[in-house]
Amino acid sequence: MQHILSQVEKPARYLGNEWNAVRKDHQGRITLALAFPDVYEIAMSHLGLQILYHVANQREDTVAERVYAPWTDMESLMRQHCLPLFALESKRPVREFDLVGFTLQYEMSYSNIINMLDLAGIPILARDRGNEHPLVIGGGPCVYNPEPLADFFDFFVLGDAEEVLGEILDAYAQAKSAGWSREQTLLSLSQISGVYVPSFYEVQYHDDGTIASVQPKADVPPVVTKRVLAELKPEYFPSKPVVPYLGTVHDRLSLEIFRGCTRGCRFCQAGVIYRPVRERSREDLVALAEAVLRATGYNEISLMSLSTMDYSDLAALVDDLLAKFGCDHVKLSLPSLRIDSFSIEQAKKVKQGRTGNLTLAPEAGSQRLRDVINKQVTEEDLLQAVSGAQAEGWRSVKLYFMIGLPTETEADLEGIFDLAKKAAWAHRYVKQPGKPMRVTASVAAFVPKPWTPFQWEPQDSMYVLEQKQLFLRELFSKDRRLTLNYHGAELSFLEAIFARGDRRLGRVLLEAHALGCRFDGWSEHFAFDKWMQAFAAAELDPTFYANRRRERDEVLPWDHLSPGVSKEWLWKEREAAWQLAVTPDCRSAHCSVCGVCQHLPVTTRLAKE
Amino acid sequence: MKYWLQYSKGGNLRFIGHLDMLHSWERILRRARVPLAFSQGYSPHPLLSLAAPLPVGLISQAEYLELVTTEAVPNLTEMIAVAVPSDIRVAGAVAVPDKTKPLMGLIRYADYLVEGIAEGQRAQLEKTLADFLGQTSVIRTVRRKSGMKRVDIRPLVHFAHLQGTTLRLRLSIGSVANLRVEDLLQHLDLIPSSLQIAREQLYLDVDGKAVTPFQYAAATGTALEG
Ligand code: SF4
Repeated sequence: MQHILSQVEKPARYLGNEWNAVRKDHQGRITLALAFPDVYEIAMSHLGLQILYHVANQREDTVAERVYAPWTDMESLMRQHCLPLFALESKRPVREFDLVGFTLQYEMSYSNIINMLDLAGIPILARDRGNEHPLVIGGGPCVYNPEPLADFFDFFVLGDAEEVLGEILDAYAQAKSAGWSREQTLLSLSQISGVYVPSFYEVQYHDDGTIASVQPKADVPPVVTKRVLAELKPEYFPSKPVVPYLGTVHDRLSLEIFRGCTRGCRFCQAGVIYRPVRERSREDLVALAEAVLRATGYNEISLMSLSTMDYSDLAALVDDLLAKFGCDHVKLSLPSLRIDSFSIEQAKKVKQGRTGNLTLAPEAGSQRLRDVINKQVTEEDLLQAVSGAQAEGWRSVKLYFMIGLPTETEADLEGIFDLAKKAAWAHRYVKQPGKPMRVTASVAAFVPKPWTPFQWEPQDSMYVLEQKQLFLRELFSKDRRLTLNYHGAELSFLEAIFARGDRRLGRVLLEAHALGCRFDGWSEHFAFDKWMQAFAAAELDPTFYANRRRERDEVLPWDHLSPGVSKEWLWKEREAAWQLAVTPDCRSAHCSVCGVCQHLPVTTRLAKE
Repeated sequence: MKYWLQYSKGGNLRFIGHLDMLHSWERILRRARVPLAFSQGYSPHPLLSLAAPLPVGLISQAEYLELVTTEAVPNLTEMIAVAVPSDIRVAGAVAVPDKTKPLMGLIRYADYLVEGIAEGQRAQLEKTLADFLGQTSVIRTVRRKSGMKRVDIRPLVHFAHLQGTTLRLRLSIGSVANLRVEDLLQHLDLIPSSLQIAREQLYLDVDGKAVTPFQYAAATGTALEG
């Protein structure tokens, strides 16, 4: 091992010797490998896995360790020396663990999951695994349509995992001591609410390739609904997170201030699956921050959530944290700003010295299209915010937009350019003195996601997306204050396929793995041709998944799963989009009966009413 | 108050690079609640520095951290002990006058212990070494930040003793003259990655004599501690 480590570019990725890493004897314990299918620096920045590591290791009877995707240099050395994928803390092979839990954060990490199973020496297909192999578990946002991965996983867990993890470990302990078979164990696990065992469901297809039905084959629930925490209790929060030696993407204390977002942007999956909003109290947050700072030595706190500015007591929280830790030179960062003067005020409070980039997300270029997507922000709001920021010393602003949104026309694309230009000269529009700003417009292609009001919509073809990018490039070339950023349409196309894919895509993943696809989220490794080759080999048409409009009554691959939000509500929101009707945020306005609080034992929980 | 802290770095920490190590020290000292002093200006940073970068892959018996605190910390080593990982051992700390020049700029020599030389290589190495030491000037092309450079490395080697399969070296290090131990080993036809290399000590130069940072501090009249 030492010999291999001295040959890789960043050995620190594989040491497992970080501060707060947990080491326990495996003897007599349930062993759980928590896997993130990307490289160390990304994996270590992810709060969710640290939460599970903490919750599982709190149990006396369980040892949880970490395993991440080895970078390609390490992978080739491992394969060369027949070294199987190992867990970081104990260096024991992952295939010797009882349970291997992967977090499914984005579709383009699926090839890494398969590669990791292969490196671990665990049969890739769930049906080829025997009693001697670990149970492979998936959790995270992509489990609301895990169908493309159904062949590779033994079971999935929907929703907040803090409580259900304990139930799973209890059930597993029982199965282990009783010596149950794999099948028996899975059947017992399937009785836990939130657990979905895909092999217990049979999918039938129509001749046109759409789904005819998804039926339970065993005594399992016809619909699996997510688990949800009514309250984010502080004891579930990792008070001693693992502190990396290597600089990571988020090398700071991630303080999750609330879960869920009910702004209701119609393209946004997170805004549906994590409903409703559950805020931690300000007192809890200050106490957690203090505990974690002491246990880690971090010099920065990042206030994490889906839209940090919406925390009901944000100004007071920022003041409290600054008052308490500011004199120790602990910085505060606010990762997402809302487009309003309140946000600029908070950003100004936490800003230290020279200001970096200000990032705002109007998402669409025209008021009409912003109404379609329910992004309740006006041009006036944006110009006020930018000019306010300019007055506070910011010199550049980055604006996020999407192209290919439903109902989009050329006027909406021109709107992106116009809005960027106006933002550059914002002070003039709001009649304030000032200087022009540098503006970067970052333009992503719209990817229709399951469990959103746009789940029935086609994605623009790659050709159309590229034409739109060229159109924007032409416009932006006229103004040297403005910069335009966009990514290749190929990755968005693949994302759209796997986001709304069905079980047949498992064949494509296998083919792609055989062709060597991995680290697809990394441009230097992404090989689009290989993916197209994989589709050809699997005899599946990618455009069927990405570019086809679904009918209202079509059985969708994820209809037998549920985040609590009803399909009817999503359709109503879709209809509202076409009527340019806006749906207000239920945290401040009235409930729009999305289904979550009706179907699940949970309600919106705010720190300050 | 300004302190010099001596520590050893072993185990897997050998794979942690210089900047990551410095960053870790900030976290260790914060965990230990040492009252760190910060720089002035736009983005204040703690006044911490390491005496000499240690190449990745090497362990060391004698690393030195210079730190400035806002108040005297008489039990500095004790405070730190609870917050350091097991691969770091704090050997001691010494307070130095505030006006002492940065240790980073004072370090001139480093001792290395190279182990794991193959029996079969010994005879050849002895010859190569004797040959090297017999010269007054040996020009070698070495990598520097600015690119490849031709350097006379002979005056940068102050001693080199081969005892059995162990090689002891004292080389120039620091801002005035610097020879990377890997460069010398390669010059002697050894493969650095196949050897265990430990840094044993760092020295300042006082009137042509090598003195350790703690000896220097004692001589300048500061009480030793820890
Ligand atoms: S049920 Fe009502 S209050 Fe609850 S998340 Fe849905 S819209 Fe909001």
